[in-house]
Amino acid sequence: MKTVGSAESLVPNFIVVIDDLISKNVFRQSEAKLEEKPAKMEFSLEKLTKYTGYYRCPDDIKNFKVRIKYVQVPAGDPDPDPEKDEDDDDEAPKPPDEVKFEWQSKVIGWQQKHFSKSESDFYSDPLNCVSDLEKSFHEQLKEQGEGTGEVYTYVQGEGYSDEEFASKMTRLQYLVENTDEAKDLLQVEDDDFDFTKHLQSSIRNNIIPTHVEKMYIIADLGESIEDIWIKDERLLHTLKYEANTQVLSVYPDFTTVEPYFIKLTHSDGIKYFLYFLENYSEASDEYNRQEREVLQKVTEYARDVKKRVIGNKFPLPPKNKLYVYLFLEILSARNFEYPDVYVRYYIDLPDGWCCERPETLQGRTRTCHAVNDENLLHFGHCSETVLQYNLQNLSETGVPKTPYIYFEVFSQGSWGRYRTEGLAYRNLPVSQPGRHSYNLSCFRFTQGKSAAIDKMVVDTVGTGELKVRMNVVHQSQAFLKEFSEGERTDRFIYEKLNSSSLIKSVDEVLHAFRRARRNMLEVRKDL
Amino acid sequence: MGDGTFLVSLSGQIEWLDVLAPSGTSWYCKYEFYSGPDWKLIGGLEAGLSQIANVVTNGDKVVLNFPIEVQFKSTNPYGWPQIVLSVYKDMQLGGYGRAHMPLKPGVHALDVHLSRPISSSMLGSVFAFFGYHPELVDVKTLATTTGNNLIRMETTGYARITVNVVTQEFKNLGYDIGKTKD
Amino acid sequence: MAEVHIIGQINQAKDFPKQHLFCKWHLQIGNNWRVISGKREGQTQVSYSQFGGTTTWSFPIDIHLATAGLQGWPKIYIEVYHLDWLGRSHLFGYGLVTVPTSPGSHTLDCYTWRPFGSLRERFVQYFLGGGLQLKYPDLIFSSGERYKLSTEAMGVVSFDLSVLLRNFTNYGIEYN
Repeated sequence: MKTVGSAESLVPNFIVVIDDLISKNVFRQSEAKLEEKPAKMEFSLEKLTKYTGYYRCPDDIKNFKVRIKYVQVPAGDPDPDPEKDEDDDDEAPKPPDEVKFEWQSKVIGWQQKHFSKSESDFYSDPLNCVSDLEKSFHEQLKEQGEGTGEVYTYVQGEGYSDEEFASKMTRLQYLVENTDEAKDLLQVEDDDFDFTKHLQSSIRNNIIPTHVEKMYIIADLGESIEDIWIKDERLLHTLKYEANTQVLSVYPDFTTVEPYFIKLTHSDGIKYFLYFLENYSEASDEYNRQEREVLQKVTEYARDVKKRVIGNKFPLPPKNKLYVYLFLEILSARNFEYPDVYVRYYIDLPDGWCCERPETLQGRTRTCHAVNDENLLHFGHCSETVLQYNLQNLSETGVPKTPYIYFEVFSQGSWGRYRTEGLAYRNLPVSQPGRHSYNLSCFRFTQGKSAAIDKMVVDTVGTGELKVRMNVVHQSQAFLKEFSEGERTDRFIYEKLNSSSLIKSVDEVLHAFRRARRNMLEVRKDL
Repeated sequence: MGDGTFLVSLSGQIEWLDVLAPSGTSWYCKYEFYSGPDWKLIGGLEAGLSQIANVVTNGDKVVLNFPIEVQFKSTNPYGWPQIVLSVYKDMQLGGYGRAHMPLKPGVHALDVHLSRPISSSMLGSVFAFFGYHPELVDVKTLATTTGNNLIRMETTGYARITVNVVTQEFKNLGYDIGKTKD
Repeated sequence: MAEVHIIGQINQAKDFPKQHLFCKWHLQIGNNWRVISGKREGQTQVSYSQFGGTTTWSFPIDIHLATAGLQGWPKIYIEVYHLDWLGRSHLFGYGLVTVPTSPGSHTLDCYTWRPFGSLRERFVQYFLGGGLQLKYPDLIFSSGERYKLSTEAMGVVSFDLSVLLRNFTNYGIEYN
């Protein structure tokens, strides 16, 4: 049983591979049936939508082959409805009852000339062959003999065209043909920008194809009436190949499951011409092998570059610690009373938290001058800090205390006076990695005592609004085990940390130590 | 696949152009894909030319419904594909636009901003008045980061593109693109 | 080592007093970060819109970074300039924004500001344009001498950035 030629070298291997596998399986089934002599027609013969298939050919186009399988069968309905429009070629044929399918097939290579009967007669006569192409046809005919069957081809150079009008020279084609002159006129020197390369690539990559090779598969579906052959030439498939972009277009596309059909009204009744077209090219593994080699080299090179540039070091926090990276941005503020404003921030760490560089826990922005009606202030202040949490505290308390960040908004008056305009605070979202944006409303104490939080003062008044954004990232060795286990579950982070074996093991060791110590003391007491 | 490559499949269409089109004008659009050195086009057409759409009512959207379908293979997200559009009005330039294709799998609607160069000299402005607008020699330079310093561009509208992104083997290479779009 | 891809665009600017703006951008990274591919800085084209409102650049950003630590996470620093009809450029704002640490697509707003001069300087600026520029732009990044600088708010530049992270989970890092 013949198998369909491997399509990997020709078709887009991503999506169509799946389709191809499906059609391969189905085709083997239907092919088996075709080789037998079936009694009934098993195609549903719905009208297939004809569309163009575009394929990229990494291979040489010379490896391209198609196989066309065709048969002419009489229609099933002997008494066609006289009221039906006989010119309706779109109508799907009715399946005939008892028909033998004698499929004929032809394998056609790229730009391979197949001769029809009338062409065989024409080119056999050397006097008819004038141009080089026709002379080569004559030679070919001498070698292979007459053409058989209804299907033949027209190749590039024969002057056959399926277009109703020749396309007019477009402006783009005009530019393409006159680029040499253009290149001389343009002289630009720019180190960073390779002008010539871009110009050349834009010319090469123009959309209107200029170097197109065409091929047509034709069938002569005429009949012979009283010993005279009435020719009925029908165009079955148009194949175009564009050398620049290596794109092959096939209209209508390949079909291996359902055939295309043409309805013919002959003098002896209605007949249907059914045909399949399949991709019969031989896969060249050479291309795939080359590609694999190149890919291997590329990935190795990329890895080497990264190793050389960075190396493999990435500091991990110590086993009992959780690192929380905090990237803070103080974005803007509005609706504060006085025009010249700056913001100070301060992070307060409760027990269990520490920071390697405590100077990053506080800072201040520039002084900003308010504009427009809502006294808009833009700070755009960025800072980063790393907070460390000792995981051993988890086993005791369960949920740790979260640090707080305090913002204090100062206004700078004339003569260098400073005044608190507002206070705001927030607990840091240390349990949720990701991005957090906040609009904090600030308040101010109305009594004279400004600055620190004084318990005596109870009157506050709302002032402006402060917009901040924080990015939080966690790092801990406890997560390593979880990631290597596979799917990350969305457990609350402290559960994850708590259940990590690190803590348990440390805990157990401590317990064991304490037990051992207690035992030792007891033993000592007895002595 | 195991050879360090991943596949990206993009399919969608250029739906319409919102360019404040006067009635009686005809518009068409050209698209091209630009991708980095590690990217290879394995399927589909990397460039295309749409039909010519005529505008009947003043200010109508120019509806194209122009299909786009491409598949890429790559070893590196650097150079993620970008689509570069050139929009033409009658025989003149209507505008250029570029957008990165979305990284997250799913259906996305992109608004690609269109703008066209305006001449920087007085003589050029006079020509522009008569309909000879300056055009870029290679539109793909819009997708690179060099070569377009100090070109003056004027907004002419935007194009709406819907695209469906499917990736394969991307996560297996260790890349995390965040939670998939809702 | 871990890798970060920043793929996106500098989208548009709004609330600036004039159109005809261009933006110079620069990626700020710590000492333990390296750029593998992509440009670390650039300049957009000059854009203007006769419909008023926003100035859109849609300028592509594609940078591939490798790192050996989380400190010094990338930030994007921008300078927005106005190009007048004589071809002179005037500073319209400085801005600094942190690249998001969680993977996915983000729309970020960068709030810009420019130095606010004395009354006399502002008077001159009103008529002749120009204005004060920072002699030492490092002032923006360090926090020591901040208090000496007085600024005023300008417009907002919005970015559409997609962040792609690789191999961070190998080092026990959780980001979303």
